[in-house]
Amino acid sequence: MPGPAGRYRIGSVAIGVVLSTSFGLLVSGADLGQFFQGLWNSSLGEPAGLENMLTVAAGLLLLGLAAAIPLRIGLWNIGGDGQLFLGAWGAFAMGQLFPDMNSALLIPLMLVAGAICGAIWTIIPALARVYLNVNEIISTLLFNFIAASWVLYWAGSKWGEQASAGSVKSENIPSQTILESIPVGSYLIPIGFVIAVVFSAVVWLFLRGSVFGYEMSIIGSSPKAATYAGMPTKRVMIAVFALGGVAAGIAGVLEMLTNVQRFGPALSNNTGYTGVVVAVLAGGFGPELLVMAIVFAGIAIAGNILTITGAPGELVFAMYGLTLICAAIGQGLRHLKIVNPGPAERDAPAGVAAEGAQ
Amino acid sequence: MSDETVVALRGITKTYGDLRANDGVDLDLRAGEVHALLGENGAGKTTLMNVLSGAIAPDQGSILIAGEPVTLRSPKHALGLGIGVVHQHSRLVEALTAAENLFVGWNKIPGVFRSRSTVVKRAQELAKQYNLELDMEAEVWQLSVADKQRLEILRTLARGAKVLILDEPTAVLTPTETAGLFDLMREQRDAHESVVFISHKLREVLAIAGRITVIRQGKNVKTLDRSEADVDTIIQLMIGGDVPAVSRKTSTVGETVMEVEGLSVRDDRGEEAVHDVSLTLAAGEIVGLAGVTGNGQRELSETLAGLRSPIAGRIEVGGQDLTGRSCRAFVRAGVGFVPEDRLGTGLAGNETIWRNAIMRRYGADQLTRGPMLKQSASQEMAKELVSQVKLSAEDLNTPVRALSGGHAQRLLTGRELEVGSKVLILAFPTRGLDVSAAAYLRQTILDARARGIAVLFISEELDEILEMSDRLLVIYEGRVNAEFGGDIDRDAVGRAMGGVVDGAAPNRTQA
Repeated sequence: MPGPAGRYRIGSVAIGVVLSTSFGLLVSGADLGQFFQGLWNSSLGEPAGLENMLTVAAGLLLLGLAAAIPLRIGLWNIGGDGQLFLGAWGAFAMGQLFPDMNSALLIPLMLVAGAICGAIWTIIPALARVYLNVNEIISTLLFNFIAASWVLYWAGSKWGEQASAGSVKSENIPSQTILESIPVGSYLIPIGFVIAVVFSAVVWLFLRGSVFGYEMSIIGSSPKAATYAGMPTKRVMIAVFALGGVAAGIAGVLEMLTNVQRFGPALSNNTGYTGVVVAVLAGGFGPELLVMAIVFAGIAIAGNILTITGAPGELVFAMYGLTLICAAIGQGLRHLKIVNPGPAERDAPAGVAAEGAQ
Repeated sequence: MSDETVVALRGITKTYGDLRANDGVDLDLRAGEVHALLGENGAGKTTLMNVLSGAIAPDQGSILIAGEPVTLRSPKHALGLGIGVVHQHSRLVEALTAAENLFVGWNKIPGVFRSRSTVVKRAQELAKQYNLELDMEAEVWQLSVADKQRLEILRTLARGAKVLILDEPTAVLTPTETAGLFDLMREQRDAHESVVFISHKLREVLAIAGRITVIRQGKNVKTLDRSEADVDTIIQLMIGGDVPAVSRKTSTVGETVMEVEGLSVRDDRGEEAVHDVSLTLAAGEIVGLAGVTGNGQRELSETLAGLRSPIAGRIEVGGQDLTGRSCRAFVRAGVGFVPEDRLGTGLAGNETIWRNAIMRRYGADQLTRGPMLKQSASQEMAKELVSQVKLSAEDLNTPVRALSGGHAQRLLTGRELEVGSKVLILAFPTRGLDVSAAAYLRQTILDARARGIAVLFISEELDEILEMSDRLLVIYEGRVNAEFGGDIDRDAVGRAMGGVVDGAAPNRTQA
């Protein structure tokens, strides 16, 4: 059972989801019956719907993790998108180098390469933060723009699909590396989702029980206390950033191997920024993060359905924003309590009168 | 003196959950008196003053001003009715001038755009009127602690306070500054106004108060006239029994354990806060370091524990040079440290008791298995410490922030006693603790001394430091300006704390 703070969080997110969906419906003027039919079909109603939703959730879970881990010690990783692209880049490069390798070797190799590239992308902002006190919010954010140019360069001129018109994208990944889904009953569970959940669970358990996790918790509570305890605060901060980059890098690989199957800007639909919202609302990196990732995948899908019925594509972000505002209000309100006014307050008018009589 | 009651509190009750912070408390304030409110930490003094100043509404009970019941809606409302508080910690805007601070939220000067000179002129007039003159053009951060306090008092009085509540006002003052504050309190009294003086320094209370109200566990114990009061009676009333006696066993001073030479240290803003300090600590000896807060004690103590690097000088422990080494090296050399900032540095407030208990030794072999922390061994170590310091009733998963100040300090000191097998650096270890908790702590320190540990005892409480120390140093503006041994002249120590060194060769002349 969650504590009062947790109840406020859940309640305010629920209110936000309902409000933002109603708002979306109102703006788009969609037919209610059609909307809910679509929503049902895209989640539990049809195997393909659930499969798609879990794929979206996998990305949000990992990018949520990429933000939530640094947030545990008070650092903001806004660079999830850039790390995601670099992760996918590393994996695609492996595919280019070993196009004929057995998938049982190539897929793990791609994941490792993606993890490493994602981590590398955090190094400069991390070092700048730790040694030069450069604000990591700005540096990680700006690194997203560098990554975007990097993607355009590689997806466009280096690995670009010559035949393609319009959007920039690379050639296909080697076909043996495409991740399928596992049938469970009548449903299909994407392998990418399973990998994301297992990875998050391992990270969570490790941080709960390890010396490193202990150091993180003390640094998060009080950096001065950590120095006093003789902890390598700077090293831990750099490692924490790198771990966030690993999560985002893996997300990029999974998205590429599951959905997009090419390298290009389509790998992220601002997933990195949504991940920050997911992390903030979850308030931790345990099971609550998985729940929040699934909720946001649901919002994304609801928004997509509305887009199909003619609403503008930005609607999804307006819905995220509205949910976040509700959660922020809930966060502010949790310090207040509805109370039965005591006798002192009830007598207030009398008291004021008495005072006026003086 | 008059017996006219200006403000009366009747049956004030305020509960927070299960805690009855105030339980039917009565208090009468007369015109022209200094009324001291005494009680241990958690006795309910602050709650009562918050009720009286309109910051919180009582659950039950009434407040009478000049015999009429009133409901105080806010501190501003209370001030409008003549009740004003000066809080323990300054509530001034540091970046504004003294004059501007006087008028923040108090629009007493006509016009929208006010010239700086009008504001300063008006402020100076008010200061003159209340005999509280200070540099009105200085920005607040440039003012001394005592001047900040005078400014707050002026602000409160100028807005019409007839009842002035001072919440532990002397905690940050030198003896001379305290005397100045007392003059001011006497002026208020003689002008037929009332002053409520909250303090736990009994000597001061007896010096200034006309009447003394003691509260304990949220209830009135007694209100007595100054003439009926003495230290022993008051302590008995405050703690509901006798103070646990502190026994000082004789201890043989052994060889020098810590040797500090020519130490200079910068503070967080990069200014030199400690200049050329040398001292030695010998086994089985308590060296007192007296001084008003903010004279470099924090920086010095942190440097002696490895938390800060000196810009010059040497630190040796047991012959080993530790200058510039990390906290871990100091721990390995057997230096324990109880910092001034307990819940921010000494303990990680949001973390649990057990995680705090292992904080200084978490890397030890018996607590780790590869990269993992052995949960059971850690819990075991924590349990041992907790029973050692007699906190066994506490759940190891309680965040330390939820502990009382005394219990948190026991945990911290207990842990450092295990770390500090040779040296113990204690920065203001009894600050904010109530009488019995402080006595317990002093006994712990004296026991450590008897076991042959070298102790540096940093404090601002003259009585305490005189009682504890074998030798006494005084720190003023980052320099050790006086050293005392044998029979210590209390007044000379007090003067040295204020920067006045008499007799032989002072380190620097008074500015």
